Amino acid sequence: MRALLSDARIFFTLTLLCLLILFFDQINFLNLPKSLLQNLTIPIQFGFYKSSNALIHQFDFIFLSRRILQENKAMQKQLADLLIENTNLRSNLNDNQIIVDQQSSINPKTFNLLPARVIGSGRYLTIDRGSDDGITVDLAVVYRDTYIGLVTSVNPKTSQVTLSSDPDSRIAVFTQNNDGRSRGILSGQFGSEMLLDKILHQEVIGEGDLVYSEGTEGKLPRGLIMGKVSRVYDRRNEIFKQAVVKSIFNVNDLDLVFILRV
Amino acid sequence: MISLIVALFLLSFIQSSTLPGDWILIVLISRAFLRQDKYNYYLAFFFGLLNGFLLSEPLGFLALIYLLAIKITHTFKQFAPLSHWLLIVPLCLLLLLVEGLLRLIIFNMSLHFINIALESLMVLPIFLITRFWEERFVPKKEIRLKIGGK
Repeated sequence: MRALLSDARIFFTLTLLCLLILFFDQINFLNLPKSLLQNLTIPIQFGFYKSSNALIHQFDFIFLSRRILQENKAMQKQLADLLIENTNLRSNLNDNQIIVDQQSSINPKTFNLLPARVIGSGRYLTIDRGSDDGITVDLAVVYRDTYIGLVTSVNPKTSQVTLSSDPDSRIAVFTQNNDGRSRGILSGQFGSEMLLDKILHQEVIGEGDLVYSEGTEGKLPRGLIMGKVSRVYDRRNEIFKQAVVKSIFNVNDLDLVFILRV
Repeated sequence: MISLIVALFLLSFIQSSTLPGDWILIVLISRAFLRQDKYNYYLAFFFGLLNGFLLSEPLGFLALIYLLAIKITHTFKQFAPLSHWLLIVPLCLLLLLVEGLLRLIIFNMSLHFINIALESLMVLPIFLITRFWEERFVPKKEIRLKIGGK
């Protein structure tokens, strides 16, 4: 009986302590100690992250050897097709460059990019930039011209990024090919795939089309690459078409990403 | 105890940077299922704070979850002290579901049931390793035999 009471006392004391710490954290009272401690833990987290990636890559050859042979054959054929297409594109590029130069002088597009290291990945990506670097919630994270995710949680020295493949992610997007354009909502499906939904049947979309951000939510600029269409579901008895979109990059291969500070 | 603390420290960093999942919670539930002592509460409190700090979650939230999980495990063992060890799987599943539901209600984070089910299956090897470690390498208090004599 005495042991039970002692256990209950310890449990309630620790619970009260937790509630107190939670309260102080919510009013940002613990930012300074957290910031100081993160100077110690961030290098350790980064070390673990890099080591595990290196270890995983050691065993890649087991899975890749057969696939690489098949890819090699397909790539040789693709190279020949690309050389022909390259010649045609070069002549078009010259014409387009004149138009782009004209537009850039009237409406210049500049982004303030802040580089950040990836120190942890799982459902969310953890980066080593936080409120001390001017990072706020809802800033877009990109790699080259590709959208990676949105900052959803900020600490003094680290932030968490919700990836585009997360089910909580919903972004207005459009696709474009030679036959036309389509619009829809891109939502994450746990894993590396995303679902592009609410596509009208009369709009044109095909496998291999690139998916871009509309930029209507105000959080992202227009034209960021979201992924590539891998499958289209066009069922006439459904109101909308759907398409499966795959990421251009494997997020786990990224060491450095960039935060768009608008 | 020191080796357990060191292992939990390493596991915290691994959980936050490479292997996502509730591994710390599973280890704590395994230990609480084996031994119902006050140190489980201290471990839950401290590693809940550490995990919350490393995962950039509100400090104190994970510690509360872990304390609640330990309390529920202790209460379960109190009412069923001779329960079969396989019951840790549904217990772990229930506790992980409770955690997921709390995150859904408070932070509006989606619940991924498949991950929760897989993690609750992983409690089996973790529990067996913890049991092996506790039985073979953790010294217990001396058992004093009362030699009945006249």
